[in-house]
Amino acid sequence: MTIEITALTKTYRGGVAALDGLDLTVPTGMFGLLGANGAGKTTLMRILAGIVRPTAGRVTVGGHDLATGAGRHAVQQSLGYLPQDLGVYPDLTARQFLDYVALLKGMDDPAVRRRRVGELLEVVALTAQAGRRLRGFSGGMRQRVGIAQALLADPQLLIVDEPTAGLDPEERIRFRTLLSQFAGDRTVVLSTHIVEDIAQTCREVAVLAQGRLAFRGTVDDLTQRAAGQVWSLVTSGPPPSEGTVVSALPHEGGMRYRIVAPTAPGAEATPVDPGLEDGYLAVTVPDERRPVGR
Amino acid sequence: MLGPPLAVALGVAAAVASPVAGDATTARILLGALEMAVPLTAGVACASLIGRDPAVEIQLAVPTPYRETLLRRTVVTLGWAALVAAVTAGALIATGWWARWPDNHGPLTGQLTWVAPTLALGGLGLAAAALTRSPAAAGALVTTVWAVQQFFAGAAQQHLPGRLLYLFATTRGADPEAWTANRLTLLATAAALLTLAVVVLGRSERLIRSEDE
Ligand SMILES: Nc1ncnc2c1ncn2[C@@H]1O[C@H](COP(=O)(O)OP(=O)(O)OP(=O)(O)O)[C@@H](O)[C@H]1O
Ligand SMILES: [Mg+2]
Repeated sequence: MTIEITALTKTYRGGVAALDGLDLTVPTGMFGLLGANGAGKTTLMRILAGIVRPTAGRVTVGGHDLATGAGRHAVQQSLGYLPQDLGVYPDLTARQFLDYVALLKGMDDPAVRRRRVGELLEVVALTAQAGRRLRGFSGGMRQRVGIAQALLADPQLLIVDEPTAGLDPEERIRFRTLLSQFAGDRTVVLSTHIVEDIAQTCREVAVLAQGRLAFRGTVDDLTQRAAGQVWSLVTSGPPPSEGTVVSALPHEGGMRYRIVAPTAPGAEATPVDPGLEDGYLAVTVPDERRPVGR
Repeated sequence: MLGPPLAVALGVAAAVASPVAGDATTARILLGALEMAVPLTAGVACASLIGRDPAVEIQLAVPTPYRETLLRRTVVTLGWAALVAAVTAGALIATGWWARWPDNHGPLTGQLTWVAPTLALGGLGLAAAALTRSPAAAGALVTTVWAVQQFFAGAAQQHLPGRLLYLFATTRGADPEAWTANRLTLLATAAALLTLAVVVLGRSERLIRSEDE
């Protein structure tokens, strides 16, 4: 399912423009969405899921117009959605919860439901805990229940909002591998702060900044945005005052800084190859350079 | 869930503990449990159905309309209260206590004793919750309406509209002649409130807690 977003604006009460004239096309396959806190990612995801109505603009998903009830219904029929703030019913067991969501997704046959729920519990490695109440689940386990419910009806469009938050490294890697395998000719929109997750799964990516599109292209393009702007600097003095420090590691009596800056932040700075994170920083903080150490 | 049976149990306890002797008084307390306590618990339960759903984002993203789910929950909530009330009424009829309250209006029509106020307060709770999206506010409204009619029974029934909308006409009615009209008015009010709730829920898909547009 291809998503076409045209001039999408969402202004919350109180005048906060969460999205501001956004134009974006999302093809099938894995699609990454990056952006700082408050950039508008969740707002966009909620609009795509048919939960929130835009203030202006047009969104079609697989040709269905989200402005109409019929369009939303059609999209929701093939939608899997993992909200950022996943709430569950604490008194239900994992199996009961998944069964209930499957019912809400229109899986009316109990046998089909039971089989699918069993499969997904296996996928998220919760079979052993399936009979326990969700009340006692850890954050990561709950997140895995959320992932399972999103996959229940074999959705053609999967929207996951920071799905790996709270997962341990092993689970995170398992999950993003799962997503990539699942994607195929389906559409998966993955929003995250974890650049590494995008680097490992997506070919195409968009970066949101203050409700606007700061970048749209391939992961390689985004990385290349930082080409010639990434520097390594070893110093025992204070960190450089310009540029964005990506990392600071202790190094032989001083510190080794990795810095994204348009020009060399010092005579001893040596250029290094950019990574995706550098590219992300290059497109999101081009003007106001954040001073280091603050 | 525990509300309706607890309400009945309280009524029975009150009847047993009643210091005033006399069958009619005890019977009145027993019927009062059906007419007062059960509707209150049902109303508050309906008020708590909207605005506190932890999985509301998932609910709004599935093809089954959330309104349908909420109405199903309302039916279960009111159905449970009705089941408890009907069983209690059956027990009262079987043991003869029903007949000992003079204004019981018979074993069949008399069931409106609890049906009408339960639906009216249930409808009020649901409509208020749908409008305010606050279970606390809706529950407070239900409780207030109930308490005002309870503690100011005389004032509440001074005029005809008040008498027609009085929730406790079987056990505390000022005008036994108007009982049937009162019950029908309450049922009509309940229907109007439930319709209002259905309409509001259909328009407002903005039930996410933080989504305060
Ligand atoms: N329900 C709401 N009412 C008012 N303002 C809101 C609401 N939800 C979000 N906002 C505002 O809209 C902007 C975008 O929020 P959004 O949640 O979409 O960002 P985000 O990119 O998902 O952030 P994060 O990475 O922290 O999850 C923020 O300024 C936020 O304060
Ligand atoms: Mg978010």
